[in-house]
Amino acid sequence: MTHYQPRLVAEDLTPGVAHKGPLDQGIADFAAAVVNAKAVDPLITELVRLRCAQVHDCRLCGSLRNQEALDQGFDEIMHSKIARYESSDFNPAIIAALQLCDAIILSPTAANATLKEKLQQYFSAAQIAEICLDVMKWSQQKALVALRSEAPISDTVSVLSFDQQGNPRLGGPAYS
Amino acid sequence: MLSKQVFAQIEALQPSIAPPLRHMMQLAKQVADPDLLELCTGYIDAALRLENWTPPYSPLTDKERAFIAFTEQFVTAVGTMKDEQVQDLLMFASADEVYAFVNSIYVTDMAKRLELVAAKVLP
Repeated sequence: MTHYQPRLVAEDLTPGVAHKGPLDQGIADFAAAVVNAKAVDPLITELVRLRCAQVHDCRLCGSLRNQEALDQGFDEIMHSKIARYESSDFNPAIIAALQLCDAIILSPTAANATLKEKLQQYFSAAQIAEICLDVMKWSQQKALVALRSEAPISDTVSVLSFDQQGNPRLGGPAYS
Repeated sequence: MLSKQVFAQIEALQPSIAPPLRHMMQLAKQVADPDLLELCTGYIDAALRLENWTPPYSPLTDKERAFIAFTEQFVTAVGTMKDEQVQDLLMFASADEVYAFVNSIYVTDMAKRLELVAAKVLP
């Protein structure tokens, strides 16, 4: 894994001005609302999250595994298929969700009636909206990556979980 | 950042997320330099639509060019952002201002992407 130094010096940031300021809080509130939406299968949400991590090169996000997805059977074999998901043996619902993710983060003009039709075969309108908002939330890492302030918390793959309010909790090995 | 139509669709489908989404977008407009944000938003809008972008006026200042270059990298491939591209911003703005700008650009970039895709895939 490539090592980077943060591009802004912590001592140069005034707490409460920008860092930990109103927009940080607004982004955190949005993120909490998104993770508390639970209409989509946690495995699909996790694959979408990790696809965002791959495309954006987020070291922290890539080092985490969501506890709910682990409980549903997520494993590193699934993780290894994300990069080439279109030719993988993922089920069609997962592939459609990842195509929606890619449309948002890679090529918005690629979204079309064919993708809409495919999504509607597997997801309700509310679920499609939830996946769209998941992608927006899991792309919060773009700001962290731009400033290279997304160092992993550990050399090993760690657990990501959320409290009742949707606040993230990081820590502990994902696999024993 | 989002059209009324797309926001209304999201509000109808995800009523608990729409208010914090709206608030986040409002804050993103408030914390960064409004002229710089408007300039860079114009770039993002064109880039995501695969349209050529021409500055609304010329010449751009060195500061404006640095922020546009950062925005271009952020939108197209944030993972290959270079240290120098952030250092270029710090020649013209404080760390607090750069931090606020980067987070405003995240919200702007993703809201524009959401607008383009949601308009096509939501019923």
